[in-house]
Formats: sequence, structure tokens, C-alpha cells
Amino acid sequence: MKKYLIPLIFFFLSINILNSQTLIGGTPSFPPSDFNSKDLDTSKQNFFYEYTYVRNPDEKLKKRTALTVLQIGTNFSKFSDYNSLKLDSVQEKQSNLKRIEKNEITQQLNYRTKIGFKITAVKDLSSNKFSIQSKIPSNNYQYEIDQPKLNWKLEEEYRTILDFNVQKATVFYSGRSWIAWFAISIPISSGPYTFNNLPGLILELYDDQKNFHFILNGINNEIKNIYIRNEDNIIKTSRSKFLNTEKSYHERPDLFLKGSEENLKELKKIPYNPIDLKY
Amino acid sequence: MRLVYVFIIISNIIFCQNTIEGNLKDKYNNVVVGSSVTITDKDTGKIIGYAISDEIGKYKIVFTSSLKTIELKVMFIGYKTITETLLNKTQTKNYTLEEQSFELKEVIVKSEKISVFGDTINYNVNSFSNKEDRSIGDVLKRMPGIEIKNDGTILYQGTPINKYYIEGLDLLEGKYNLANENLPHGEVLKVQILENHQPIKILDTLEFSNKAALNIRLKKNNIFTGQAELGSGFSPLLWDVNITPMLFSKKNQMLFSYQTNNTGSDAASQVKSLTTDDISERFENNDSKTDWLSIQKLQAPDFSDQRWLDNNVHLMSVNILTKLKKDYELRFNSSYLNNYQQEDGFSQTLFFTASDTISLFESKYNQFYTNSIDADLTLQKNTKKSYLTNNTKFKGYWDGQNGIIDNNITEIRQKLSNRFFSFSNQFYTIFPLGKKLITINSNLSFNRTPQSLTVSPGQFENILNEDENFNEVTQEINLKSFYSNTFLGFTKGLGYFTFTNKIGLQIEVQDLLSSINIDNERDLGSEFFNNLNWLRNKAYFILNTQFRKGDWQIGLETPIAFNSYKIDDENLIQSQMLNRTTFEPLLTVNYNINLFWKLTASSGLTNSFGTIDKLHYAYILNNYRNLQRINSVLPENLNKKFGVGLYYRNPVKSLFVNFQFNYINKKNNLLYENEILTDGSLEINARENENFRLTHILSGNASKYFNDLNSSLSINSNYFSQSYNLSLNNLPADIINNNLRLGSKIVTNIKSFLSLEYSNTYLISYSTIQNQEKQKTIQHASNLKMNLNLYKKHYFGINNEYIRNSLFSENNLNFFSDIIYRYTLDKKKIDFEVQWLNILNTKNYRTILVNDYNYIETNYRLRPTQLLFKIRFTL
Repeated sequence: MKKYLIPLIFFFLSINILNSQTLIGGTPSFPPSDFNSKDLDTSKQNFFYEYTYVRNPDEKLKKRTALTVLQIGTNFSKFSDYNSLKLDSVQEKQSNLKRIEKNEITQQLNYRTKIGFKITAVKDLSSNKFSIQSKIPSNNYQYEIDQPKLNWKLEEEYRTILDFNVQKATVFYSGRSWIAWFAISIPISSGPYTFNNLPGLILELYDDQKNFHFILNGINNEIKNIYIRNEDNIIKTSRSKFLNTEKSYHERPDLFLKGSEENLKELKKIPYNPIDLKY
Repeated sequence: MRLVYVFIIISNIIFCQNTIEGNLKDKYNNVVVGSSVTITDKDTGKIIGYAISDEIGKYKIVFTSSLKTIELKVMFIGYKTITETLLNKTQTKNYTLEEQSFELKEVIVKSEKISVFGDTINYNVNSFSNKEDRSIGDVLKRMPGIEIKNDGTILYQGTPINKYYIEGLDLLEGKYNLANENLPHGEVLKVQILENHQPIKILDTLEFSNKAALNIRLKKNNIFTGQAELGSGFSPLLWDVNITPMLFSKKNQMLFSYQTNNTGSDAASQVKSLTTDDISERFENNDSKTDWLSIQKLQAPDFSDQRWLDNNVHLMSVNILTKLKKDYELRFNSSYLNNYQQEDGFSQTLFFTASDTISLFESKYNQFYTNSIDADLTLQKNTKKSYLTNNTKFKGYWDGQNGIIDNNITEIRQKLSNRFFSFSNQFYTIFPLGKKLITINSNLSFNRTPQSLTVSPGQFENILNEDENFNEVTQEINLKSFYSNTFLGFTKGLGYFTFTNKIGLQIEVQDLLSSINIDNERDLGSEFFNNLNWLRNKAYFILNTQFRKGDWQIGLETPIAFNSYKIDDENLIQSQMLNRTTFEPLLTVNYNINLFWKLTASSGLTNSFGTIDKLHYAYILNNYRNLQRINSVLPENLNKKFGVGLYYRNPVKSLFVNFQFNYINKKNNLLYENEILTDGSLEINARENENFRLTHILSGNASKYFNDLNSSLSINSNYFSQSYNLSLNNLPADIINNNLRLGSKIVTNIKSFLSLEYSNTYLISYSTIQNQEKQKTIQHASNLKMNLNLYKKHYFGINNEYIRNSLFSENNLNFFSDIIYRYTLDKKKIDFEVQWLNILNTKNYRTILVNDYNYIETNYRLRPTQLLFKIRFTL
């Protein structure tokens, strides 16, 4: 239950803003959040990466895991947390309901609590531009960036991951030293998040401090929609503005959540360990 | 240090820097973005330099190498790889890429084996399938929480499923074994368990259900699949053919099957209905076949048919479902079965009376002929706004059986014709009217049961022929029945409550004609002729209240019924009438303790009255040693039932556990007086004398999948105890029967090419008659199956089975071994298979059965060792 507590508080708090219905007594029920998405493409391959990360940079030994997925289409690719896709489909279904109640919230929490990688990165393969979406309670943000030009150094080290021969490559980017293992036999110049520019798919990626670690653990050829959420209330911004906002949210979360004061007293500083340390 | 400088200078001379650049286009002259261009050392394969083509399709590689020639490769997903050997110099190279499809081998994501979405549990089929699996049924067996019984019934958490959907459509109803055993698992994406599944959508939020349904999700929307199998072998000459094509699309689903074999595989089991229809179950509608007469059979072994079934079967089945306009769907299911089976063996029966033990030896050879047609046409509309179904069924059985018994004194021949014909229609609709839902139901059925049994030489000389021997006795029966059930219902939801009222009438009219004739055409008198007219009416009113709030679901059903029976036999001038008002409340409670635990409890009262085969004034020769008349009052029972169940499911941990306890107290108004004669023949009479039958059933099951070990473990246990009274040879007998079953199964993948399945079952039975403990019988069955997959193409299956039975005087051990070798042509999905079954050539199987007051030891002749060659392909 402890695992659910923080997300639950956040969930209720963010709902409180939308709808000032009291939660004391009775079954909580509120209108579902909007759901609107735009289909861009369909995936030909889906690559699943197990994602292990350090949430609190002061507690490097405490690691969490999640499942992320890279969907490759003809014109677009998308990298996101697998459970955020699941959550989207739940929210889409629930958006038709008049009100959502405990069961629906439980369904959402089931996925919400499993989300580890909070960024969705959609890449237009013809222009090499990324649309990045992420959430800072209680708004969704979106910004555009060009594909980073990574200057990898190929190393003379080889091994296998899931029966694929992979070669080691290193790069310094966004304030961290990164190590990647790519498979030349998968001719897709892509990888987790915005990492790219190797002559083959990145099957494993980690920083030298092991704050973030992605490793391929599954592939399927299921045809799935590649979509981007496009509700009207998504705040379009720039990368620097977003990261500043995100940083201040972690320092003073109470400013972002307008719940009752007793609830907010509980909220202290949230540990902040962004994947892009500098940009 | 100086040396290093020298080296750098030299190397700069040798390793000159070159640049290769150019543009990439496809054949439509579009730029290709994101393609990789690599330069490698041809000999070592080492990457010397690379570039990724940019937004305008341009690439530029700057590299240093001493090689004379280098290899350039253009590689991009969806395009053919271009390889060119170039001189090591600065140059411009433009390429046009050719499209080519790229198929990556799928790798299964480990962490997503089982996932939950509300009431739906998803099992990823790839995660549970092994290389040797062929049908989806093979994979289902391995999923924790799911169990498949020998007859094909699928259980979830110990309870049979109520629906087997394919992509949400119910093509086969209860005959789901047809799909389960023939649908290739490679076509299936996932298996979903829908807990608390209410099949009628309009009632979904109003009437809760405790049952679970299974849904098969396919990988593609439109597929044509199925399998075809051709096999032959010896000895004797064997054949095995199974051609089962199927088609699934959004609008149509079809499944055809033709199967024939004489290898002991019981194709008939695939068209057996494995679900019960809730509606007809509650209204005592019986349109299934009743055999009034029988020949003496052997107790069939309780392991795989293929070891003992001596058959020659032809089965044809046609199943079509099509979606019409306005959400209607039309379904047609039909099957034709032509089955011949024979059995050979002997049995030793011990009858325990309070004072004596009677022993009877019989050597039996039986032949069974089945010729049956089953056709079913359904029109259905099942939406959230309304429900309508009309179902028309026809069943025809032209069955016959022959049997020869040698009891060491005489040879007795039995010839049975047990035909049965049934035609029925059910109309059922639910639609909203204002804020209420209206339900209208109408059932009609007509059955005819013409059956006859001829026994030679004649039996029961003392009764039938003044103690004189005679050649032949024939029992003829013709039963005609008409049944109708009509009701009108109102459903209304009010806050947390749902109220359903039903008012209805059942009518049953039956006419039984029976006669016993002996060869010298002696007039036997009216005691041997039934001409029974039976009229049963039941007018009923049901109030069903359901309460649902949060984690609680409570239902209370309070039916009141006025039953009236009018039974008379003109010939015998006997008749009786009975009017009874019954009240049969049923309370059910479901409580979801949390996400993982669920508790259910139910308690209720039911009445049951005797059916026509439990009341006839004149004698009927049921089988050669059973002459029966029941000329008492109509049997009446009052059942008190109580049950609790505790269920745990944790898909994250892949752990499923359930416990169930049931108690039934049945009050009977009649006590059966069994008169066992010294030759083993039996006369049954009923006397009015209140008595009770108490049943206790306790069961527990657990299954767990261990991710790290790639193994699953399941254990199950079941305890059944029943106590009741009889009269045996004029002495009262209190009988207690106890059965305990314990089982375990381990499936483990030791290596990717090696898996083991190991199961054990203990079955312990013992009974007490008048405080006298009878011998305990124990069966222990153990099965070890090893699957070995070599080089992807070769499969070896080694199956070892061991069964130990404790018999009257000794213990009996049975060993069986089989080997299967399969060679698979991967690309064409063709299997070549050789099966060597029953390698040890075990010829007989001895087993013991504990009945009411007798133990039957049976020696059953098994199929000999046999070799079978098969070709199987996926359609």
C-alpha cells in the first residue's frame, strides 16, 4: 500500500483541482480526464527495454525498475514507458464514462505506479526531430528538439545480448558518460530515449555511474499504433523552460499541488535525478 | 618519448585520411534518412568508420586506414543491404536502395507473462508455450490458475469456465474442445480470463456472476488456420485423420472438422458440451439422452483413451457464426458422429450385505455402435441495450450395443437398441421498458426414447416363466415427452440494489409404454406392461434481490412454486396425485477482501421430485440382472446446501490458490430396499421411510509459476465423504463412502531444449457398512514426460506412466512407456512424427471401483503396442 500512497495522494490532489468535490466520506467519484490522441504511424517492430534507475541521487543503491518500449514505424518512432501506454488505453476507455469511481481509479493506479520512465519521445524519422512529452503535476508539457548529434567512439569490445552480437561504444552527452552496446545486425540507428547515431540498434545503454540502465529484454513484431497525445491543455514550451519547471517542482512540490494544507504538509522535497543533467 | 613522435609521423604517412560521401535514395527518388553506411575491414569485419544519412539523405565518412581495399555497407531496416568493395581513397558514392521486408525474430518479454486489467487476467501465450506444443490447449495446461481435466473441461481456480470465446465470439458454445485441441497456438496472442463474467451484456451491471470465462485473442484480425493430420500405423492396420480448418474474421467465424481414427483417440469428446446452460439448469429441463436399458459394461480405465479405447470413429462437425446487421449474429453448429467401440475383459464384483458377501464373476465382450446427429441454430443479439436469443436444436441418436457375458455357467447375449430423438426451441429476450428490463422466455421440447433390450437365454425364470428355462426375453420401451417453460420477468435497478421478479409456468407431459415379452409368447400379465401417463405442472414466482456495493455482492433468491403431479397407469389402475408448495431460498455472498483475496459463500434449500424413471408400477428389465419396479409414492427430496470458497490470485507473483467446502444434506422420503440374489441379480423396491444422505466435499488447489526457474508447480486435493442408509437384503445398512484424491504436477524447463513434466496422483477410497470397515483401496498414478528439442527440428518425447492399484488380494503394478519423435520442417510448418506407444506391450489393466455397497474389480484388455506415423501441417 505504501507504494501506492504517494501516487494516490497526487492523483487525488490533481483531481481536486479539476473538480472541487470533497473526498471525505462516500465513494470518491469524479469526471474522467480528457483523452485525445493523434495517430501518426503503426509500429513494425517493438523493442522492450528493462529500465533500472536511481530515483534519489543520494541513495544510489536504491534502484527501481520499469519496462520501456521503443516502437519503430515507417515515418515515426516512439520511446515511452510500457505502462504509460497501458495507462493511456485505460484513460481512453474511461474518457467515455460519465464519472470514474474506485474501480477505475484502481485500474489507473495499477499502471500509474509502475511507470518509471516519465518521458515520451516521439521522433519524426524524416526530419529527425523529437517531440517530447512529460508531466509535471498537474499539467502535461510538450517541447521539440533536434536529434542530438552524438559522436560515439567505437570500442573493440564485443559480446552478445539475447543472441545478438553487440559492440561497445561510448559518448559524453548531457553531462554524463554513456556506454552503449549496439547490434549491427539490426540496422536501425536508434535506441532508448533520444540516443541514436550508431550503425545499429542500441540494445544496452547506461551511464558510467549506473544511474540509468536500459537493456533489451524482448522484441515483437506486433502492429501497434504510434500516437501522440494532443489534448488542448498540453502546455507547449521549450526544453529549458520545461526542465526549470521540473526542477522547481521537485524542490517545492507544494506550490504545484493546490490541495488542502494538511495534505500538502506531508510533501517534502522530491529527489531529483534527471536523465539530462546538462543540455 | 621521441620514439612516439616518430611513430606518429610514420603512421600519418601510412594511415592516410580519406573521405567517402554520397547520397542515398530509394527507387522512387525519395531521400533515405537514418540509414547507416559503414566501412569495414573485409577480413576482420571491424568497423573502420560509419555515418548515418541525414535529413537530405547525405552521408559523409572520414576515416583513416592502411588497407588497400575496404568494404562499404549500406544497411537500413526495410531495405536490401548493399555491399561494395572499394579502393581506400577519397570518393563520392551514391546509392539507390531497394526495398526488402525485414522480419526480426521475436523475443519474449519476461516480465509480462501474466498481467491484470480489472477483472481480466491476460496470459501471454508465447511466455508459456514450448517448442513441442501444437494446439492452444497444450499451452493452456501450463498456465497457473488454469487446469484442463481429462475430458477437456477447462477449470479456472477449480471451477469450470462458463464461456470459451474466440475474439469475443462464442462460436462453439460448450463444444470448445474442438477449437482448444485444433487451434495452433502460434496464432494466439494471449489468453484472457474474464472473472465474474456475465455473458448477457445488458445484465452486466445488474446481475453479478461468479463464473469465469475464457477469451482467445488472436494475433491477426483475419486468419485462416487450423491443422491437418494424416497418420497410419500397425498393428492391426491403424489410421488417424484429422482435418480441421478454421477461419476467424471480424464478421465471420467458421470451424469445420473431419476426424476418423481407430487409434483410440476419442474424437467424440471434442463435440461434447462442457458448459452448462444456467437457464435450463435451474428449470429442470432435461433434453439430454437417458438410457433406460443397458448392457453390462466394463469399468473403463481412468487414464488416456489411447491406451485402451478400441474404436473406429468418424466425426464431422460444421460450425459457422456470422454477424448480421443491427448487432444480430447467426450461428449454426452441427455434428455427425459414427462411432464403433468394443471392449473385452472380465470383472469380479463383491456385494456386501450386512450379513454376507456375494461374489460374481463375469467375462464380458461388448460392442457399441453410435450414430448420432446434433444440429443447433441460434440467432442472437447481445448488446448493452438488449438481449435476444432463439435457439433451435435437434438431436438424433441411433445407437445400439451388443454384449456377451460368460459367468462360467452360461453365456448370456444382450442386444440393446437405445435410440433417442429430441427437438427443442428456446426463445429468450431482455429489453428495456421505461426504467425496467423485461425478460420473456419460452422453452419447448419434444423427446422420444424408443429403446429395447433382448437377453438370451431368458433371465428371471421364477418371475417370468414359472421357473422354466426359456430362450429369450425382450424389454421394449417407448417414452414420449413434451416439456415447456414460459416465464415473464421484470428487472429494476435501484441504487445498490437490483430486483428481478419472475413469474412462470412449467408443463411436462410424458407417456411411457413398456412391455416385457418372452419367446414363447406367454401372456405375462399386466405387471410387465407400463402404460403410464405423467403430467407435471409447476407454477412459480421468483423474487431475486441483488445488492452490490464496493467489495460486497449479496444475492437473495426466493422462489415460491406450486408443484402438481398427476400420474396414472390405466392398465394397472394405479394412480397418484401430489400437490406441493415449495420455497427454495438461496443466499449468495461474494466479498473481495482486497485485490488478491476473494471470499464466497452460499446457502440454500432446494426440493426435487422423482423423474419418470423413478416411478413405474410394472416391471422393467433394466439390464440382464436387474428387474425393477418402483410402485411407491413419488420420491421427494429436500436438499440443504451450504458452501464457502476462498480464492487468492496474484498474477504478479503468478500464484493462484483456492479452497472450497460444500455440505449437502438431502432428505429422502423413500428408502430403497435392495435385494441381492445369490446369482448377483438385483431387485429394487422402495418403501416410505424418511432418511438422510449427507455429503461433505472439501477441496484445495494451488498453482505457482516460478519465473527464475521457468517452472510451474500445482497441487490439488479433494476429499469427498457421503453417508446414507439403505436396506440390503432386508437388513438396514448405514453406508459411509470416503474418497481422497491428492495430486501434484511440476512442469519445468531445465534448458531451452529440455523440459520435464512430472505428476503424481493418489486416490484413496474406503467405505464402512454398518460400522464394518471394508478394505481400503489405493491407486497411485505417476507420470513422467520428457521433452527434448534438438536443433530446432528434432523433437523427442518420452512418456512414462506408472499406476499402482491395490486390489482385493494383491497389489497390481502397471507400466507404460511411449516414445514420440518429430521432425519439423520449420518454414513450411510440417511435422513428420513417429509414435511408438505402449512399448512394454502391457496387455491388461486391473482396477477396482468402490460403489454403494459393492466393489468391482475389472480386468480390461488394453491396446497392444503400436507404431504410428503421422504428418501434420498447419493450415
